[in-house]
Amino acid sequence: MSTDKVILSCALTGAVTTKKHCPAIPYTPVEIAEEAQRAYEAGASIVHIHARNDDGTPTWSKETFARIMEETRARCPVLINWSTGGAGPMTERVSHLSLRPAIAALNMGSMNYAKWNPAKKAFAFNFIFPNSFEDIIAFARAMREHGAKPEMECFDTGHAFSHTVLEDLGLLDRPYHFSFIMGVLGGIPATARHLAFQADNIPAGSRWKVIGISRDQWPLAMAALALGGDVRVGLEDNFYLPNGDMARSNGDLVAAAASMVRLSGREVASLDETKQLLWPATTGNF
Amino acid sequence: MIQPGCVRPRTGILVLDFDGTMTDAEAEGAPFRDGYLDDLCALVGRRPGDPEVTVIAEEVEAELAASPGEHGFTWNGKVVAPASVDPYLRMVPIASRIFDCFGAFLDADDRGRLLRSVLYKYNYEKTQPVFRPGARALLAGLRGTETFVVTNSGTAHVARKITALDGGSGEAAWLASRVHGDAGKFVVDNTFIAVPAELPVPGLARPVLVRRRSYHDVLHKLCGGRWDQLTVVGDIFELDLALPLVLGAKVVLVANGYTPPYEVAFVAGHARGRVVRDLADLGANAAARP
Repeated sequence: MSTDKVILSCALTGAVTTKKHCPAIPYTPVEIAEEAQRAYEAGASIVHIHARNDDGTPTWSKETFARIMEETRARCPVLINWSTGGAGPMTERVSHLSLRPAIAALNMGSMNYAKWNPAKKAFAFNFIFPNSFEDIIAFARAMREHGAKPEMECFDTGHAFSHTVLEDLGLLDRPYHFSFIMGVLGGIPATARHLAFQADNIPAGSRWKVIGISRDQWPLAMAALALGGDVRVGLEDNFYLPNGDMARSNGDLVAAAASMVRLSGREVASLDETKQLLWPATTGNF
Repeated sequence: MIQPGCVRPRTGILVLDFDGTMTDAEAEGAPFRDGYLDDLCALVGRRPGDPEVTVIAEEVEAELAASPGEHGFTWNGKVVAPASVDPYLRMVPIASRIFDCFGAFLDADDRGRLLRSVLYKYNYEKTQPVFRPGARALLAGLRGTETFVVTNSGTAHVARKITALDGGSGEAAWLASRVHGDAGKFVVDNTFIAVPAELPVPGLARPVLVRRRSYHDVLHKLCGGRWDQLTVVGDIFELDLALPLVLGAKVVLVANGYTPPYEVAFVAGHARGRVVRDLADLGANAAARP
């Protein structure tokens, strides 16, 4: 096991689900910042953020991201992690990096991105998630320019290995920061076997976490804790607590994850400990 | 109803195990088993209640029941208890077989952390106390005696159970402050040489490992080394009773349908051993003791 400290991250809102799915999903900058505070107070040291318009639709507006950052920093010192993935041209999805978040998500490969409904024998959604090497490299260059640490989001084994290109170009600082997203149809299956494989195939000393989609998040979190990894929870990934109740806030989900960390015999990393773990020899945007 | 004084030891110290001894481990452990299996299903990519996973679990449970002496619960590489006697101990070999079948978590250390620590503790928290019939009356009848609880579970956890058993009457609450948790009955330490390393038990191919320093130290603190004044009551001979028996204490095995026959025979045949099937028998036996 690589460490006894567990960095808890929280994905506050995502870009797809709405308040109809879960009333606690935040839309506005103030709502997102209030959720960031709840997550921080429950033990998260990183919040992953997508921006939305006030009606809940996704936006890449730099002004909206700026308001989210301002409102969040007014409430708590949690580390900010901007999303860069999703719909829209790469040029739109990069401008907010100039706001200098501590971390930015970097999708590491293209894939089918789908959800299958076995009862209806049909896709609930089904699209191509394009992330060319040209885009990946351009995002990584922008992150380096603005001092954001790349969080390499890997939906499959090949995605994780693709970090070698960025490494060769000198676009990554150690420790590398990986996220293994599991449970998306088209990507790696959400099993303990596959998580252990992913964790075993990244450079030694890297920091990694699991991002489980839907209720499978909790067993996968336990597997990650046993393997020495970190954990992300949050309403972007899953609405439900381990007991099946819908979360009333991101803070509820982080509190449940923190409880799981303690049961595992490990400890939740404080904000300062997270900074030390991710930036041992340098300083970041915080 | 047990009459006051009926189960009071006339002199000496009475030590009770709690989980499985005062509680109905099978009923209490059902949510643990169900939750643990659901998590295992998720971790091997199956839905909760998956038929293939269920079959594997039932096969292992049948094997454990058929030959409990051949299936040990290991701790730090040593077999320290039968794996068959309660839902908590049974789940580890079940989970290991499921992971073997699905090729998951093949590294022994990683698997041990996930199965014995994370999943175990997480699902243990789902349990609610289910007491054996007669538990409340027994503990009420022991009030005023030198009775203590020594358990592998956490002190606060068991104290809460005792409070729940009390039901607000105050009859058993006195015992809540006499719980010694995290006793480490599992922990074998061969640098502890006050007792022989092994106790042969007829019907069990492997020896029972006796050198359990942590458990000894708790018992010694309670009885001051006056082992002939100590009576220990537990539901697993190997875990709860073997060490105190070797030290010279009296022991009472509270047996259930999962207690290995070799444990029952050994305790029943020992001059300082008794076997009871329910807690009312324990009261009667204790009262009959000279």
